[in-house]
Amino acid sequence: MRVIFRKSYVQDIQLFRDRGQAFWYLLFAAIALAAPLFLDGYFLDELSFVFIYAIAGLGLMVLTGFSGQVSFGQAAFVAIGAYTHTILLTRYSVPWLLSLPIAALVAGLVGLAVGRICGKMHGLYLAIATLSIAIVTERLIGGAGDFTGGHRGLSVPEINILGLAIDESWKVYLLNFVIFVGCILIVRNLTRTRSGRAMIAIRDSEVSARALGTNVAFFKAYAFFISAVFAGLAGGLLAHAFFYITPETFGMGESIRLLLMIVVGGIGTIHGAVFGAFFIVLLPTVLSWVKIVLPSAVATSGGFDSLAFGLILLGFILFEPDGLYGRWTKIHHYFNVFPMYKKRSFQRQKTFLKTERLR
Amino acid sequence: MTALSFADAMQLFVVGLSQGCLYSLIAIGLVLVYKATEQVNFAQGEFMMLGAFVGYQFIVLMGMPYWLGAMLTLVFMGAFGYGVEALVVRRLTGQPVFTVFILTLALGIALRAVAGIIWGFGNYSLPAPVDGNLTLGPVIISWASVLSIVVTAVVASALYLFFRYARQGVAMQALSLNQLAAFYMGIPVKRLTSSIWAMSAIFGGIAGLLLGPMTLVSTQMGFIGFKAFAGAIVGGFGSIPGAVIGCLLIGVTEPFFDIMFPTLKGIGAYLIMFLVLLIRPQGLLAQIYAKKV
Amino acid sequence: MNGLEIDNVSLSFGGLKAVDGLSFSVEPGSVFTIIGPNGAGKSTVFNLICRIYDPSQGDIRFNGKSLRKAKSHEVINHGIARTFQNIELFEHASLLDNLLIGRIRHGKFGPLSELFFTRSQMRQELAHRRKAEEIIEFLDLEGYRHARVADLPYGVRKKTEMARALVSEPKILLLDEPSSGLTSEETDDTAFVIEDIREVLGVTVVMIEHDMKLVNKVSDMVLAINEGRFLASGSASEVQSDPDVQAAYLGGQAA
Repeated sequence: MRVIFRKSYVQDIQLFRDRGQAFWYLLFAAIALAAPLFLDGYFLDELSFVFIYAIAGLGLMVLTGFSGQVSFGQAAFVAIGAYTHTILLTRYSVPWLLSLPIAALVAGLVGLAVGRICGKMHGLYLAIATLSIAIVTERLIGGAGDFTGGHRGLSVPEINILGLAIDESWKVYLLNFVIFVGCILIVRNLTRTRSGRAMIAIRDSEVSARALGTNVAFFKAYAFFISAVFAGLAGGLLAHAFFYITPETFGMGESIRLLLMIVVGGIGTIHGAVFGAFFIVLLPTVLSWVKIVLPSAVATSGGFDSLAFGLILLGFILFEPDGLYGRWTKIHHYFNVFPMYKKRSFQRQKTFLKTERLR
Repeated sequence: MTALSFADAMQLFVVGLSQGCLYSLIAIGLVLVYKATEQVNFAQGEFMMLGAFVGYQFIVLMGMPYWLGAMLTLVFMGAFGYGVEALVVRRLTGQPVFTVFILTLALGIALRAVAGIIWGFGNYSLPAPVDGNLTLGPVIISWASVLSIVVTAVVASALYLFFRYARQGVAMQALSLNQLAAFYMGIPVKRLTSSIWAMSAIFGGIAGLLLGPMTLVSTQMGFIGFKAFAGAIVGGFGSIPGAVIGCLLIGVTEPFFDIMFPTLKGIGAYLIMFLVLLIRPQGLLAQIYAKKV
Repeated sequence: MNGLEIDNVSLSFGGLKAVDGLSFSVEPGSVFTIIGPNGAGKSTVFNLICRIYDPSQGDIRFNGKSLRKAKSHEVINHGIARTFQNIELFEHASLLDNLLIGRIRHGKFGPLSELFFTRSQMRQELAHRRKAEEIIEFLDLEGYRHARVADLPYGVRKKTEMARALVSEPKILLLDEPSSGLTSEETDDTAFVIEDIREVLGVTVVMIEHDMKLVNKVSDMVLAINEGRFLASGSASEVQSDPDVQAAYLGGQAA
């Protein structure tokens, strides 16, 4: 087992825990940057989706994983970002570099408003309130007629940055990757500063957060804002990846999928959002390999994918509630302390029902 | 927009009332489970869908007489609900409510997929136990709608009496207040919790059998469950009378809303819920209290 | 006047008077203990000071300034920090993070410098980290710095909560039953800690406590209340020999 000797306070604050960790992350980044050299277009497109979903997931992680506000409506902000971006590009010929941040900001401001309204709600009430926001947003976009293209949808132009056309898979991939890394750094910075800690405080105990000077309503709304900005950003990028957007693309089902994604990845961690995005984007591909060996009656049935998704999720909740990242840390720990691994180090306490009707 | 005649308004009101009753039946199932265990079953809509499909299996595919098929459906649903609690949900006792949200969402996804694999993803028609319409002056209402109103009234009052007078009902109330204390008082907590899930699944089944003839049976019919959620929240989640009132409110206002704003069809329920939450953040009959420190 | 003043404060829940015309004041630099039987309204007094409840009448002042206009998250800006009877820690965060959350009142909201982690942000974080380390050392919590709070033993959690209140650099510290649930060794330890908080850090301590041994050891002033009303005050021995107090504890009618 490796022990970290801390010689200065900076070690608790800096980006990477130690040199070893920095090495691994930089190696991953280098491989990811070089990926277009050895992966074909299909996989690059898939990975682009992973990055975009991870950005939306990071946003949701800030909201649900850090500030503890369950949102069933993240897709609404993705939709707002996607539509704002597309409409700005096509109708007002706003340059891409300007249009994407505006889209993210518009989504963020809507999120801020929602956060102000929903700040007093908890648990189930918040879940259903955000769910209705997703449903209402979808319906409003669909009902807005020509401006949003209604239910017929809108086609999305190619990305064009200062006259440079991002028209091939590898270019899109690299663009998405850079934005994705930027987003991770921002969330990481949030977690090591005051606002991020305030959110954690609110998640774990509102009473003592208040007693220590946290303006709970403010930071709840701020979490909504950040989360919606990320969602809006992801929306803008997603619009390009889909080429064509309709309100149904960002329906209630998509919101729930995003939430389930961060749960599978591991709630409350940055890694969780990324792992979850890999899971949700690559699952259909993996399942299509699995189907080859299955009897055709099962494989061709329309429900197979969602059944597998549902069952995997059930498995995670029952046996590995910390998600993929939790599993990863356990495996990591196993090899670190080999052969002294104890199951007990990660055991959950057995408890009777704790009421959450008291707030 | 043209003004509604009184007869049209009455017609809409009755349609909304029967729709609201169906929401109530689903919501009662939700609230029952929540009251006793604080678990929120996001798969309640899918329970209803399953009830409708099982009824379709017995009555249409196997050709059983209606009432026999319906009885068997409810028996199946009871066993199903019991099993779901005993085998799956129980493992999460004491975990935060969020975990149960995710569990039941996943369960809902899996149930939709299973139903699709077994019965297909199309729309199927389920017969109603009673045919024809009832004419009351200018208002025409199908007997099936009347039945759903009557059944809801019966179920709601039966539940009220059950919780007030029956030994089991009182035990369930004790369970909802303090699980550990109830356990020490000799209440069979595990069996009782499973029974509550069974009851809740049965109400879902009843709702499915009543809704099936009106909308056709499909894997998508469970999404109506979210409107029941909205209704239950309007009433203050956790109170059965509140849930019924909230669902009726939503059911009755919905058709009027849809006629007034045709482009926004289908979201009236949620807007009403928002309106209520803005005025009374805990719903009409509050069930959440400030934590004591 | 300096110090904490509770001036004729009342609060009722429905028909029940939880606090009834209560007045007392706490001298700066002293250890002030509130005792009383269960349900006497002791924690309610803390909750009133921390603005969790709004009194129906009366005023609460600290260093001459009224707290009645403050929101509950602004109370700490006056220099009033507290602990809770049943430990309200941030369970899923590390001990260090819990203490850093205690520094929230000493930071300003700056979204850009936070999200891009500027140099001045780094300097701020280092200052917080240093202060947290001071308190960790002060309370002997070195071994638990990076442990998740939910995994810590009860006594350590209790201490962590005290540490979290102290990193906010309060002028006055409200301790709600600091010894409940502790072993007798840990209780003895708590007595030394409370004395150190006053002597070394110069923080006024107001505590609610049942353990008379601890009360006798550290208190400069004791106040006994029952059913939200004043019973007696004075030194620990004076209050304990008061007939009204004895009657209240034995459950009899006060003479």
